[in-house]
Amino acid sequence: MENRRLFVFKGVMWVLAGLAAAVAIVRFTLGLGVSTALSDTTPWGLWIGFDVMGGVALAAGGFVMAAVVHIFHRERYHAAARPAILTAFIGYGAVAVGLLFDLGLPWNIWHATIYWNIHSALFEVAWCVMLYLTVLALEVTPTLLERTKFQKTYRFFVKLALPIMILGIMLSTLHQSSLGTLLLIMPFRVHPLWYTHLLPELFFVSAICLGIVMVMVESTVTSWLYRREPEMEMLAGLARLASVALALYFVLRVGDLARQGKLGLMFDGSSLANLFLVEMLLSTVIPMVAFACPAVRRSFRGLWFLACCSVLGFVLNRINASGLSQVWATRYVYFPAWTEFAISLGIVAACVLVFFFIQERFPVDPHGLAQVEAEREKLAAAPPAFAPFDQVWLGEGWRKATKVYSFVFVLALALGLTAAPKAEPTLDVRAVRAVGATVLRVGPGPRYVYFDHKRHQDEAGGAKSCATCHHLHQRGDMGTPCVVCHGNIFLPTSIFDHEAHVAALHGNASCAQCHGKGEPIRVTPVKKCSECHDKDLMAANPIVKTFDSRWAPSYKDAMHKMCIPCHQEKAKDAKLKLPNLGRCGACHDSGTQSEKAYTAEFPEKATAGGV
Amino acid sequence: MNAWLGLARGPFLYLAFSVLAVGAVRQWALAIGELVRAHRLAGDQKIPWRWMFRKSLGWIVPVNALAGTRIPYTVASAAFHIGMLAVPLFLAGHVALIRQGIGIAWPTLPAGAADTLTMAALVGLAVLLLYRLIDRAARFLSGPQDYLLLVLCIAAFLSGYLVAHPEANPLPFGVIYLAHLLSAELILVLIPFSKLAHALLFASTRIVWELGWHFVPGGGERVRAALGKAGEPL
Repeated sequence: MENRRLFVFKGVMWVLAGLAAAVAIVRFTLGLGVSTALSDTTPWGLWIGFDVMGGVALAAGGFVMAAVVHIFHRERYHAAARPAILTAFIGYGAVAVGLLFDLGLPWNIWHATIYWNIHSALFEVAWCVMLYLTVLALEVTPTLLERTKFQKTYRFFVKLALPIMILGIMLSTLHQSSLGTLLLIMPFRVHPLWYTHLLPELFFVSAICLGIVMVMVESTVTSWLYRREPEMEMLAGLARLASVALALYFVLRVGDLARQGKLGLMFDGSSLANLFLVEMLLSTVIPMVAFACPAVRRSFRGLWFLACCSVLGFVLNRINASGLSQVWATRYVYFPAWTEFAISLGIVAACVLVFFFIQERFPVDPHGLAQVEAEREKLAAAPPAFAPFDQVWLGEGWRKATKVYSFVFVLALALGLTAAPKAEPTLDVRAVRAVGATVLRVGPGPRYVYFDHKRHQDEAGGAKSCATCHHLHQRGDMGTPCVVCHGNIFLPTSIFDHEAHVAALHGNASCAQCHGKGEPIRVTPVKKCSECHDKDLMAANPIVKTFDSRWAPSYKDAMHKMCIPCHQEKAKDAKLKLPNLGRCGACHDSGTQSEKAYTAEFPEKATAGGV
Repeated sequence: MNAWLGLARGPFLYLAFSVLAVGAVRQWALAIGELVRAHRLAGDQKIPWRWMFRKSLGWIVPVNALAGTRIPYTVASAAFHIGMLAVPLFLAGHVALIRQGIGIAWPTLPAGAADTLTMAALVGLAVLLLYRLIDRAARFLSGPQDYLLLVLCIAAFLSGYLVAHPEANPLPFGVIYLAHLLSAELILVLIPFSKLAHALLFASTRIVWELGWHFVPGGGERVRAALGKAGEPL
């Protein structure tokens, strides 16, 4: 029997990855505006807070364990070094992927390598992360090569290991802290409880703490999933180490607040102050005190729970610092869309799956690998079984895994594609809809103006002019805004209310009145609106043209066809002195680069009118 | 009713096509894996490729099977399959909807031909269902899925016919339209995950079958072990 616990866990990871894949398709085809809750006020959301800021910090276990084992020679943590470095490698890869999602123009991600802005903290972060990712790849290589035939290359990388690790620790020190530096340029935006000149130092020390507790989480979760004996001695040692590091962080952070005279802010009862307290309790205070107790250090569950609690707290710290702590300044509450959560969770799930994949095939943890291989052999030798539901055997091991995981993956992918947001329709915002005879609602907010109906009627030409505004004669029509027919800026929309017609013409028997007798019901062989509603619909006025359609044109087409001919006409009228009236810029943003380029290319159109 | 129709025409339709698309990619990926595996397990590499492909393709032509013993069954099955492929894909109404939605179109069937094919498919489906119910061997081999899929196809065709001929429809139009949408969407969703998968896999299953009839080395022993008769003579 295989390990059901691991099997189900991986299945859940595949579901998350499938959802994220669906959102990824939407994000890269339709853009950030459709797929996230981000805005110009809050351009940094969950993806920066969790995937990038949190991700870099979560991967800090790599450099911490490398230092503990290879620099300080604490050999009893040796077993944790390789998994930690592998996690760091995968984690930094995930940070790069997460960044691709968040960048508006992801294909420009390489710009930092060529276009140097040496005054930018992000420039330093970009270079450090790139270099460190390379270093991590070199650090992981011996693990991958150890059991292959490339022994010469393997020995070369083993010899290279120490200098590479020193380089890695150095680079980590630099960019873990410069992620904090990044926030230093926002003294009026980051809440005072988080803003301090010590941000870089705090980020570095908290990364060390998070590195240690993350190694603990990893070790406990792996031993639970693979049903292995937990390495209690190592975990207890790490807990003691974490306790000391957390105490250092606590003293540094609270001491710094005291130095700035901000201690009182912690207890002012505001939501951000409470958030700060929750963050400090989860990440630092509770684990620090608990890890100091020998009884806790002997309990597997206790260590697991407290380490998770601390990890949660530190991730919250990164999210707070880079996002939530700025809400008080922007006055704009941003809550991530579900798609943002899906991407963040999906990236983590993909990382976990890659980690398992490598761990089950390469000597990351030689003892664990031997166990996995023994189980695999036992499975291969087992007689085939019959599946309970349809008596069709799925296979065992990787064959079963491929079928089941791909099944849940594609289901999640399809569900995600269905639920993911589609191209944004134009809403009533573009229209002014009258809500009463004398009061007009303006825009989406609670703004109203008085509407003088009689004056409009008089100015438009008396009783004959009704159709200028009321051209559709719909029920309860108070003047037809453009958006009624041209709802979507890109798509043709239906203005035809089929149900109302069916009801008015008395049900099924009436289909033939419009669709023709004996014809299948389709869209095309059907009467034109004007055949019945000639007088109702079509008005002799300069704005509303007679249109032959059961389908309204898109907003863009409608506006262009409706306005441009007349604009071009008027532009030629010398008396009006409006030569630019027919150009794109008369209605759209004027003076843009593209327009200048266009007018330089086609000077004759620049005066005669736009496209 | 309108809310349901809105769901069936919007999100459900989108879901059905997404499931079909990604499910098909999954099935094809798995099929390629199975092909490679079957080829590896075949062991002896003297595989008569040309004969094998010809034989696999031959199964698509129903006339070949007409010479068999179950002629009514073969005719019914062919009638149903031709209708199932031609009517949903080439019905003028469907093509018009597709053109409206994504802007591409293709030639369509004349209305009379579509009606004839639909009727033929419905008769074929009825024969297939009766055959499953009456024939002893077929009944023994059939699971719930076999009956449900047939009923689902009947529902889709019948409701489709009534949607196209509202004057023959005794029920409210919306009800029958909803039934048509939902049954057709359910078929689309089930294609990658049920026996309907043969619509995607008919080629590869035949080839795997022709390739993989070679047993795994020691396969007989494993079958005996699974049956709890290890060591006994075959």
